[in-house]
Amino acid sequence: MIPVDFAYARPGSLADTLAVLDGNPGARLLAGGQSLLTQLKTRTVAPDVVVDIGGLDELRAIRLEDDRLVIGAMVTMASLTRDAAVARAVPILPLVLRHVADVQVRNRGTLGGSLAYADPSGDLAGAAIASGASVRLASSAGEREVPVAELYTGPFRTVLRAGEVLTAVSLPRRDGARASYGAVARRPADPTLAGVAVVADVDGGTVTELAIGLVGLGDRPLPAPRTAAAVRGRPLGDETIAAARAELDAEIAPLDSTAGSADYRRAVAPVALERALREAVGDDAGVEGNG
Amino acid sequence: MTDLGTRTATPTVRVNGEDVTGEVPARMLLVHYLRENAGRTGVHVGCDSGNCGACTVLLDGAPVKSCMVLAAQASGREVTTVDGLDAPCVPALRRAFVEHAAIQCGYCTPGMLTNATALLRDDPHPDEDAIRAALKGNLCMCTGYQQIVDAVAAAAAEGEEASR
Amino acid sequence: MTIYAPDRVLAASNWVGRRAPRKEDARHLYGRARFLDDLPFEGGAIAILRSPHPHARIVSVDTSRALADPRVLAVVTGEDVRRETSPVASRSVTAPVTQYVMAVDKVRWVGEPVVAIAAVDMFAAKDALDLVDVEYEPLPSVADVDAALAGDAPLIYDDIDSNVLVHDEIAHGPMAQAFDDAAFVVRETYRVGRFSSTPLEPYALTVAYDANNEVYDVVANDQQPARSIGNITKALGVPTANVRLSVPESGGSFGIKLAIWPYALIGCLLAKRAGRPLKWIQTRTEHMLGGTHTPDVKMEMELPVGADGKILAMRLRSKENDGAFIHTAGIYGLIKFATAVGPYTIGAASIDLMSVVTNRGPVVQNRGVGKPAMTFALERSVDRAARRLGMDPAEFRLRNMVPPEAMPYTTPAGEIYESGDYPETMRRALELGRYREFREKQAVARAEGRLLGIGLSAGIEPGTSNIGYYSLLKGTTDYNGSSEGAVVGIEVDGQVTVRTGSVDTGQGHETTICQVVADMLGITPEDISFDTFFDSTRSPYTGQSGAYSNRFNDVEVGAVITATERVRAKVRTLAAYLLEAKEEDLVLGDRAVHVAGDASRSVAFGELAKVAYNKVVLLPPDMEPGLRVMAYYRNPMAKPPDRGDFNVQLTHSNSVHVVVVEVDKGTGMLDFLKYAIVHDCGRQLNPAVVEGMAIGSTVHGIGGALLEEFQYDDAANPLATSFQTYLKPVAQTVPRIELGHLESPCPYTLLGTKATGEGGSITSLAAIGNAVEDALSPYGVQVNSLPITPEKILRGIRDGAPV
Repeated sequence: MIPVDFAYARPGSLADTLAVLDGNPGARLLAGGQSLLTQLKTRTVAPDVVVDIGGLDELRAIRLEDDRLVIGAMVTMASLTRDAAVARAVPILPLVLRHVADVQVRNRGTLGGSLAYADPSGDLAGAAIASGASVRLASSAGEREVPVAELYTGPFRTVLRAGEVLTAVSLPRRDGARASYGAVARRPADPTLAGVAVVADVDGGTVTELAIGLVGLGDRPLPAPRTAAAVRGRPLGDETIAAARAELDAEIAPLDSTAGSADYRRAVAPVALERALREAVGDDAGVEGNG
Repeated sequence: MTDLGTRTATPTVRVNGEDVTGEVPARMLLVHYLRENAGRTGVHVGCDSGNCGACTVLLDGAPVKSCMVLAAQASGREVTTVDGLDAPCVPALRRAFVEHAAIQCGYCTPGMLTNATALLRDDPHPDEDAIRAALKGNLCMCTGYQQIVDAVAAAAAEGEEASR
Repeated sequence: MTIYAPDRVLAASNWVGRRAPRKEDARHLYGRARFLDDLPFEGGAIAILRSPHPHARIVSVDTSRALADPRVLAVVTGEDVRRETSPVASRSVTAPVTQYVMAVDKVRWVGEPVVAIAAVDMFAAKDALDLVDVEYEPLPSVADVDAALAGDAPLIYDDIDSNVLVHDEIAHGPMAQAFDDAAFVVRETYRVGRFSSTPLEPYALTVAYDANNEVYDVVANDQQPARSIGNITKALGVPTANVRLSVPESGGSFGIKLAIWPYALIGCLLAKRAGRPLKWIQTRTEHMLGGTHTPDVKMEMELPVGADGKILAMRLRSKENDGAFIHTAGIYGLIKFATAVGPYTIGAASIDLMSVVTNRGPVVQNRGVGKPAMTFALERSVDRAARRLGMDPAEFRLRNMVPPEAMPYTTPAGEIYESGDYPETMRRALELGRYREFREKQAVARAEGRLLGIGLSAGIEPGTSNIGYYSLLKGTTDYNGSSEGAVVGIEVDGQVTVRTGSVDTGQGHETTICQVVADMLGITPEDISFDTFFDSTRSPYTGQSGAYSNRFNDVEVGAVITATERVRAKVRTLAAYLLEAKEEDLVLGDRAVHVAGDASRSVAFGELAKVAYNKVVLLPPDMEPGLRVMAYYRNPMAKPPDRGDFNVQLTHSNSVHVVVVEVDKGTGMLDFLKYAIVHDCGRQLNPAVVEGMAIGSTVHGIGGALLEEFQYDDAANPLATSFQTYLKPVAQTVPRIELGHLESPCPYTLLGTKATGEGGSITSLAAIGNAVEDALSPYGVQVNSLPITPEKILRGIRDGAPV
C-alpha cells in the first residue's frame, strides 16, 4: 500500500515533459494512474521518478481533423463515454467502454494511458485496432505516428522508446458504421478473456467493409485481417460465419492466465466473434449494433 | 534546466470546502492525505489494488477511488468526502439506507453512499440494472448488495415523487 | 425442558419483532464511525516481512541493515519469538508438533511472517523490509491433500512422520446394517475449493506497552477477544491483567478475525522493544495470503438408499487441506459429524476426518465452518439418489425429512433438532421459487436447446457452539461456547446502560439488544445506551465470549435478559417500598414504575436510581445499593463430551433454497433466473436484520460456488492475492434473493430465537451445484467440485467431463 520513495514531477508542457524524460531514463509516466497506482502500491513497479502528465491540458482535446477524430491521450474514459462526437465518429468506442472497469476508474483512466499500458486484455486497444486508429508518439527528436495494430510487441510491451510520450490517438471517422463488441469476462469489468471488436459497413445483409480487433486472444491486442477478409463482401450466413470462425482460430494465440486458460479463450473466441458479427449486421439493415 | 521532480509535495486540496495544505512524501496517496492530513477518516481502505471502492470520494464532483490518486495529483482540486456530501439527493439516500437496512458493518457505506450520490445526481431515475452497474466498483462483503440497491432505488423514487 | 419464556421476559410488545431502524447507522452514513485505523493514535508503524517461498529452510536472517536505519525502532525475528513466547497451542491437534507465530528454522507457506519491523511511520516500516537479508534454502513443497499424502511427499513438520495432523472416525448408528439393506449406494467424490468471506476491513491493531505496570495495551478488531487474551497471556507467560485488549468498531469478520491474535502477540514483542505505541494495518495482499481461508477439501460420500426411497445412512470421508498452521487444523472436519445427516431421518452416520498439512496458507473459521462443504456433499448426493430412483428431487427430500411430529428429534450422534417443520419449509420454498412452473419452462427450454436448470438444497443451520467437539479428540474440555456475560444498569439519571462480553462486527447487536431491553423495561431503544466496544478491563466476558458460531441470539441475548431481569426485580422491589404498594400491582412504562390503575402513584427510574446510588438511606434496610447487575447466562442444553452422545451446537434453523439458472452453451457463463429461500430461524427479533444476514450469507455462498478461489500452483505458490485475481460477487453479478419465513419458536432459547448468520452460506453451495448439474443434464455432466467456473462448464458440454 506504500509505493517506493520516488521523486514526483508535474511538468506544465509537453516540451518540459520530454526534457524530464530525457534526463531520467527510469522515469514512469503517470497519466490517469488507474494501472500505475496499483503497481506502485504493491511495489511491482519501483521507479525513481514519476512524471505526472495530468497538467498537460494540450493532451485533453477532442477535435476533428479532416476525416479523422483526434483524441488527446489524457481524455478520460468517462469523457469519451459522454462525448456525442465520439459516439458518432467512432461508434465502437462507447460500446467497448461499457466493459472497461467501473465508473470510478473510468473517471480517471485515460485513452492514452490505457493504450500505452499494452494489456493483452485491454478492450480499448481492440476498439482502436478495429477502428484503424494510430497513436502519435512525441519525443525530443520529433513526432511519429504508429498504427495501434503495430504498437504492441508483447504483453505490456510497446514500440515506445525511452523518452517518448503517447500524445494522441487518431481515428478515421466512421460515421454510420456498424459496431459491436463480443466480449467474454468472468464478471463485468474483469479482464476480457476473449473480446472481438467489430466495425463494419453493411449493405442489405452483406458486410461490405469490416475491421476486427481482438483482445485476450494473444500476447497482445491483435488485428484479425484474414478473419475479416473471410466475411467481407459476403452475406453473413452460416457458411460465412463458419469460414470466419476457422480463420479466427488460425489468427489467435491465446495465453494461459489465472483469469482464464488458453483453451477456454480459444473455445469462446469464435462464439464472441459470431455474436459480434451477427449483432453488427442485425436483422434489419437500419438497426445499429448496441454491443 | 527542467525540474526533475521532488520527493516531497505540498499539495493544497480543497476538502469539503476547506483548503488543506501540508508537506507530504510525494508518494503519499490521496486516501492517506484525506485521512491523515484532512482528518476525513470516513474514507476507508479495503484493498491495495483499486478494486474495493471503500475509498471513493468525489474529485471535482466525479467519483474516484482515492487510493488510485496521489495526493500531489489532487492539488488545486476539490474533494468531497462522505461527511461533506451535499447534493439534493443525499438526505433521501441516507434515510433510505436506514429504512432498507442497507448497512451492516458500515465499512463500505461511505464509498457506496458517495458513489450513489454521483449516480443520482447524474441520472435521477436509474433502473435496477443501472444502479447495479454503477455500484460494481464498490465491494460490500456483508449485505449481498440487495438492500443497498433497494435503498438507492427508493431514494431515486423519492426524488421522482418530490419533482412532480 | 423448555427455556422459551417470552411472557415472563417481556413486559411490553412495542419493539421486539419490529423492523426497528438500526442505532448503528448514523455514524456510518456521516463517516463518523471509528474503525481501528480511524482512532486517534500517536506512534510508530509495524510492517512484516513474509516468506516468498512455500517451503524453505531459513539459513540466515540478518537484520543489521534495518536496525542501522534511524527510522527503525525495533525488529523481531522468529528466533526472538521462540525465545520469548511459548509455542502455539492447537485447538484439536494432539500430534506432537511445535509451531510459533512466526517462522522458526523454516517457512511453510508463502506469506508466513519471518521478520517484523517497527519504525517511525508506515513509510519507514515498509521501506525497512528491503533492508532485511534472509537466506533461504528452498525445499520441495506440496499444494494439495493427494500430494501431501503420497508416500514420497516432503514432510512439512519434522516432528511427525507424516503430513496428517488428525485422523479419526466418529460413527453412530447401524452402519453395516444400512449397507446390507440398501437397494443401491450413491458413491461420489466431491471437492470444494478455498474461499473466504474476506471482511472489507483487514486485520488492524495497535499495541502500547506500559513499562511501569508491565501492561500490554492492545486494541484490535478481534472477533473473539476473550480467547485471544488467553492465547496472548499464555504465550507471553504473563498474568491476565497484564494484557488489556479492546475492540473498536469492526469492518466485518465472518470468522476471519478469529485469527488476529498471533499478530497481536508479535505486536506485543515489538512494542515492548520500541518503547512507543505501534500500529499495524494489514494490507489486502497480506490478508489474502493466508490465515483467512476455508480449507479446500476432498470428500468421499456414500449414501445407501432403500428400495422405498429412504436414505439409510451417510458415510463421509473428509480430507481437509488445513494448510500449515496448527492452531485451527482439524476444525472443519470435526464440526461436521453432528448435523451431517441434514434435515433427514438418516439412522446411521460416520465421519472419517483427516486434517492434512500442506504448504498452502493457514485456515480459519469462515462463516458456517465445514457445514457448507458438508451440505454440498450431502445435498448433491441426495439429488443423485433421487435421479437414480427416477423421483423428483423435491419429492425425494420430502420423503426423507424429519416430520414435525418427531420434534424434538435427536440425530444418531446426539444433536437435538429442537423444533421446525422441515416438509412445510420445503413446500413453501417450492411455491416461492415457482418450482412447478419452472419445471414446465425447463421442458420448453430444453426443446429449444437451451440449458435451464433447477436446483434445490435443504440445510440445517446450527447455532451456539458447544465447541466440546475438540474435547472429543483431546479427551479434556477446554472450551464450550454456550455462555455469555452482560452488565445492565440504570444509571443515576435514569438512563439504561448495557454492555456484554462479546463484540459486534456488523450484525446490528446494539439495535437488537436495545429492542429486547426496551420491551423488558417498558422503555424505548432511545432510552438505552449500549456500549458496542469490548474492553477486557470492564467487559463481562467468559472464556468463550465473542461473535461467532451463530450464538448471539441465544447466549448473548440470554445474558442481557438475565441481567435485565435482575435489575427489573430490584426496581420493582424498591418502587414497591417507596410507593408503599404491592409489587404485583406495579407496571413498568415510560421510564417509570406505576401502580396499575392509579396515575398519581409512580416513581421514575431516575428517582429510583438516585435512591439506589445517592440517597441510600432511603433504601429498604436489607437492600444493597446500586442498580447495576452483571449476569452470566448458559444454555443448559450443551452435553458434556461423550463420543456416543454429543451435541455440537444447540439451536437449529432450517432452510430450503430454490435456484434456477440458465447456462450459456457458447461460453459456459450462467445467469440466475430465480433465487428463492424459505427459512425458519424461530422468532425474529428484528426481521430487517435477519433478512440482511440471510441474504448476505447466501451471497457468500454464491461467491464460493461460482467465483471465489484461492488458487495455488502445484508448488503451493498462491495465484490469487488481490481482488483482481480473487473474484468477489459485485452488485451486477448477484441475483435478487426472495426470502420467505416460517417461525417455529426455539424451546431452548428465552425468546424462541434461532440462528440466522450462516444459513445462506451453508445451504447455497449445493443449491447452485444442483441447478447447474440439472441444466447440464442433456449432456450428462456431473457437478462434483466448486467453484463452478465457465471453463469447467464448457469442458463438460464439450467432452462430458465432470465439473
